[in-house]
Amino acid sequence: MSFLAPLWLLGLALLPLLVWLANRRTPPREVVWPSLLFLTDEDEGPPPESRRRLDWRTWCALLALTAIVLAAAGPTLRRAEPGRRIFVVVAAGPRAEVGETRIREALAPLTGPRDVVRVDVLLPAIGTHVRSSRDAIERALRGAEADVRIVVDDRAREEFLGPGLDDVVFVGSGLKQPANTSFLTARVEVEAANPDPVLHAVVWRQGPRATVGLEGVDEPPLVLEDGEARVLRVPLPTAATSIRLHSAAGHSAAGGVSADAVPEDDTLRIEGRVLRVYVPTSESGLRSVVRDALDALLGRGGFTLVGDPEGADLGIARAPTPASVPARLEVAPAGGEVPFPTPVARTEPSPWTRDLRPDARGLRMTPEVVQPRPGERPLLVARADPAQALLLETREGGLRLTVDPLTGEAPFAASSAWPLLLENLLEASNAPRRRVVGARPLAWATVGQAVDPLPTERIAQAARGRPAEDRPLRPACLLVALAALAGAWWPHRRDLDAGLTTPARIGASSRASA
Amino acid sequence: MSRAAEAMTAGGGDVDGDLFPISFLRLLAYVPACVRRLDGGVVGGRVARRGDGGRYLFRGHRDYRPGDDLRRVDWRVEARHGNLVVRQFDAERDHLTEVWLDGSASMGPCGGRVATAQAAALACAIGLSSGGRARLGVLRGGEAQPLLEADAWGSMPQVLARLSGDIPDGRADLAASLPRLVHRVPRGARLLLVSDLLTRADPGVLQPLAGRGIRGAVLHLRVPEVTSPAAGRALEVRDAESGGRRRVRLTARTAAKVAERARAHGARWAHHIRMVGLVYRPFAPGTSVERLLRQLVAEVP
Repeated sequence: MSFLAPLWLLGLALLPLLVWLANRRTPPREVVWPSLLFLTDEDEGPPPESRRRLDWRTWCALLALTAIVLAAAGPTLRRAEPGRRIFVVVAAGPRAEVGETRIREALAPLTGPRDVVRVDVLLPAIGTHVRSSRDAIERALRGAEADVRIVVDDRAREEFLGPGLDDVVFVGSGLKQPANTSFLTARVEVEAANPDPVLHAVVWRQGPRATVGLEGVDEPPLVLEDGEARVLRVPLPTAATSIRLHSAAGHSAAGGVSADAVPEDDTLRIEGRVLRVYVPTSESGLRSVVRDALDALLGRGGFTLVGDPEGADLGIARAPTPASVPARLEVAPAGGEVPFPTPVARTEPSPWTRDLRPDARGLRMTPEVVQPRPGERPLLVARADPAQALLLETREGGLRLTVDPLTGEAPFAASSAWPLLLENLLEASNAPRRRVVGARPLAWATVGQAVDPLPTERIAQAARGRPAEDRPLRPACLLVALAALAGAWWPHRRDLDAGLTTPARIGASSRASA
Repeated sequence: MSRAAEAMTAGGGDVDGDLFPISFLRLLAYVPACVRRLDGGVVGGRVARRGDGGRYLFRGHRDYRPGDDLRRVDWRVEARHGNLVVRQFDAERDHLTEVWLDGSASMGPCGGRVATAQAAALACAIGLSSGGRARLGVLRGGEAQPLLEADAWGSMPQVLARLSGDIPDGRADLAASLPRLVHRVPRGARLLLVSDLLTRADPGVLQPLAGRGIRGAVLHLRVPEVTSPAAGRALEVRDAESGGRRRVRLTARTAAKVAERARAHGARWAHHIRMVGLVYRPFAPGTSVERLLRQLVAEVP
């Protein structure tokens, strides 16, 4: 039991005063009597008591005073203890494999019945491929009142939140399962003299120095420093049976990152007609988007969807075209350009480039990835604030696929589409029995992965901000006080109504006469 | 204040307004008229009076009228002449009314002083209304002390003033004061004694009053708190006369015992009072003054 105004309890000190006042009348009052002629010794009263026994009217008065004081103090009965408010923001990416259900199951042993757990999943509707942005996380954290704020993320822990959020606990939920390297954009170019496809790509690196090489291509590996970007032009060799972009041994992080070091924004931009797109199983969100987009597109381009739709070999097949591709690799610094072969006007398009327009060339990065540019026609738009996915058919006849762009921010982050486009190129080269090995999850890629347990101690020691449930007892006290007052007053009133000659009245009249 | 009440208080010194309120003074002014009306003959056809005048100053005869006291019929005239006549007397100027008041302290508490003072004032007013004299005295300390002797109705303010100034105090010691009073009262006088009779004296002290032609009444003040107390809690009572204290628990049984003792005490005194030819008239502080006046005029000779 607690009291809203405990200072009122000092009023209980009046109880001894009331008892003293009652005992003060203990000796019978002296009454002037005309004569004791008719009073004998037999009428002698009992000897005076040292301590008067309180009558029930006095007890009623004491009870009334106690109830009034208690009512003024505002007693409340604790019905439920205060609880903790735990707010969890799930900002995990595709490799987090964590959801609200798992969060609640993990928190269940650590919380009590009065604790409130709120879980906000900040994943966009397009699936777990896209991570939540920093702004979204910060906005969610600031908008909720909580005693414990937890951010569940699959990336490396970063102090990227603004002021006032120092108490936020980061919990890594990423899997140590490998992921593919990053990829920004690629284009397939067809030269008239050399119809073999050529790969143009830009690769970023954020983190320790990494060495990236193309398996199956007779070129030295590419060394990427922290924050460095490279533009690649890879004429695909005809003889190569498999091509895989990988990092050298001992370098675990070979993912590409954007220039402004915002790793959570993934953008895949494809220019030119993509012949085959492969999406890993774990990134089912992206796969569903791409698959829906491509399904709408395939019928126009004469392509067919091949492979297991639910497996790892989803792709687009087309009639093979014999070609020979020289094995050479040209590398340019970031922002630079690798000269493309001069387009040659074709009288007849080659069978496998029949759908490609001759002027659909050029390699560029597009910051404004969401908004369609003039001449572009959106084929598929999937929106879930703040993340979106947009598949556009460019004016040049190419495709532009943007996943989770944040408006106004630079595109691109980690992606696993790099080997996918390689496989597309292989398919375009019509090489027999060529298959992209890198499409599978690579054991050496652990981009942004972290696994941390829940902060059990932090949760246990958290302040209990949820107020306790108290039942006010003031009405009951007032009721008792009223009943006690009525009990103390009613018999007195009854005596007065009956007109009885009480000893007190005798004494009063005696004093008046004296 | 009415004119009659002003006349009662004019020239009489300090009259206690608590003892004699305006209503009482107004009633007191009508006492002479009331006495004349009662002495004049039949009142309401029920009560017969001796008629005007006294007993001894014979004035003559007149014809009998219905309602005349048969004791005033001159039977010898009737036997001699066959006429039914009644004797008439002149008023006796020296007719004396002795009003004595118990002056003990026991007359004060519980409204006793107001009741006794008003009863004494009524007695004096009745005595003066008859055309005679009135002597006011008090019994205190075993003595009979005269306070005032009034010979006309105009002396009533002085009577009221003396009654206002006399405060019950001390003991009356009726065992000693009553014999002295008995010897002071002349023959044929009217005696009105106002007392609570709260004494252990033998009522036989009144016996010398017998055979002396003394008429009158004893107004016995019976305070209910003393004679019939209500049961209640314990009391620390103090005797108004002696100052003695006693702790009393007035249970229902005790209260009944006290009432029985008071009743027996009053009955014993009433018996002796009637034996000497006086009227025993108990009254209480709550008794109506009008009722007391009617009883005094109608019942007290």
